[in-house]
Amino acid sequence: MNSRIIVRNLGKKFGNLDVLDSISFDVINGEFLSILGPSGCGKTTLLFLLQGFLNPTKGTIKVKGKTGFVFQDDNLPKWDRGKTGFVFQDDDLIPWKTVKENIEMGPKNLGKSKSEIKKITGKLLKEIGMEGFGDKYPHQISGGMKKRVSVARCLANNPQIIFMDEPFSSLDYLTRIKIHDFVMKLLKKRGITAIMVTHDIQESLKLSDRIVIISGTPAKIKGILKPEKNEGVEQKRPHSDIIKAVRCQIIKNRIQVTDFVPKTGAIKGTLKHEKKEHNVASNDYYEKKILKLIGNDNG
Amino acid sequence: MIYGIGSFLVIVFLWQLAGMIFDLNSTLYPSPIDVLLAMLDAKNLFSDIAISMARLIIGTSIGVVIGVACGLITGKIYFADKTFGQVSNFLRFIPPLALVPLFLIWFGIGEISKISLLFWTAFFPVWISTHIGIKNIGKRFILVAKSLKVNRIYFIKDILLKGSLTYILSGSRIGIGFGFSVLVASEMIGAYSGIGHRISMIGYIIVLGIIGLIVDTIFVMISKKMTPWRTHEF
Repeated sequence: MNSRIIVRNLGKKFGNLDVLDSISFDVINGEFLSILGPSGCGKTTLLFLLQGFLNPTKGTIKVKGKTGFVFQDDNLPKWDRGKTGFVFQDDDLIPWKTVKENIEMGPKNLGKSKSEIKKITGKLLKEIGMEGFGDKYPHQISGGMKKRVSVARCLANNPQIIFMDEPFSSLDYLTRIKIHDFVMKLLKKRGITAIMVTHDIQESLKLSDRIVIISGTPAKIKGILKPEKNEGVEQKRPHSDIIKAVRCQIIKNRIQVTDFVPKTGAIKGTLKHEKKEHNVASNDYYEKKILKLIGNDNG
Repeated sequence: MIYGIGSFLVIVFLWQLAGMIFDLNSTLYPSPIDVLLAMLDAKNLFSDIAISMARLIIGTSIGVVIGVACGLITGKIYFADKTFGQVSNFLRFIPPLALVPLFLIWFGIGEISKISLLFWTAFFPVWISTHIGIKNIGKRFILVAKSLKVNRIYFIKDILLKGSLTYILSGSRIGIGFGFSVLVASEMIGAYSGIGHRISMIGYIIVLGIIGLIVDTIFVMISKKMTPWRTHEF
């Protein structure tokens, strides 16, 4: 396993309040990992620990940099300069900087030349479809545009990892769907590792390669899921059709079900489609599983 | 602007009319025409304006620069806020006008006393505005800068100072406004030149008002140019 970050026995206390305890997991190079849990369970604290905004009370976060895995005495992860990006939940564009100036922040501080900065900014503005908006201020653009600029600002430094703290929660449903696709394309194209904190089960299922589920006080890991992506199948045959037709398919022996919830039709199994076998699972199936793992700890 | 000029002209007209109707003593109650003629005769008008404005600009500028620096320190460093900040909080409640005689005794009748008073007047509103401005910069913006590993100079200049610029400008505007009162008071008591020295003439009072209006208008124009991102009016 090509790990990028190794988290072991991580814990965080604020005064007497135990927020996180015994958190251990690995982040694999290039994956999209979601940290899922109920509101207020300590997801953002975990993300802040990974980025190095906060010091852990106990445990270690090892980060693979240029010189391999590094661990500092002060328990802070030692990131190579400019190799991480952070997208916040709320509107995080600097209001007193134009769209262009926001994107330029990273490269400017990495000591890039003016022509290089101009090239990077121009390319990114084109990529996010905002070529004519470089001189606008954040309050002059829409919420979806702001989010695109925010991601572009992270990408300007050519980071290896992006941390996202409920990045799409402030967007309306339609914009959110568009931004999901847009962000995924940008990240996959560059092979960037992404860690996203969310409380939205469907969003995490849609975007993630793996989902770390945390809950409780102090929050502990309740499970790590690796959802089947159903790639290739969904496009040719809508997933909802599979669920509706599940009984029929079982009879025809085209779906070998390993797990089936009759009441909702939530399934996990193998679908034979055009002489190929695909592992399929409905989102309902994972949602039930996640809710069961979280239990009644928070909420 | 048209409404402003119009109201000004109406007041002048009523003033002139009152003088004519009630046949007032022009020495005690001069009409606008009397004032205008007297001002045209005043030999030192422009040199007085220049001297007063120079004092105002120098004293206020020093107050703004030091006020911003102190606001930056108390706004960002907890220890400085709890020590120096508390002392300054006590000092800012001492009205500058109460210090006019004291400063004249300490620093003499020359320029130092007046500039020191103007510094004192501008310093506190600018310091407190900068302090509040720094405190009001969203935590997420500080974290964005941290995540992008911006250097210290960039952080101070582009995040802290620029982020609190609207507050700094508001504080400076208040400082300039108070500065006019203190300037006149100090020039009335201890000066041989300046608008305040000759403020007993009604014409000079009017000139002072007009200069104040011009300075404020220019200041607002510059402020707007400096903060194109603001979503509120000055």
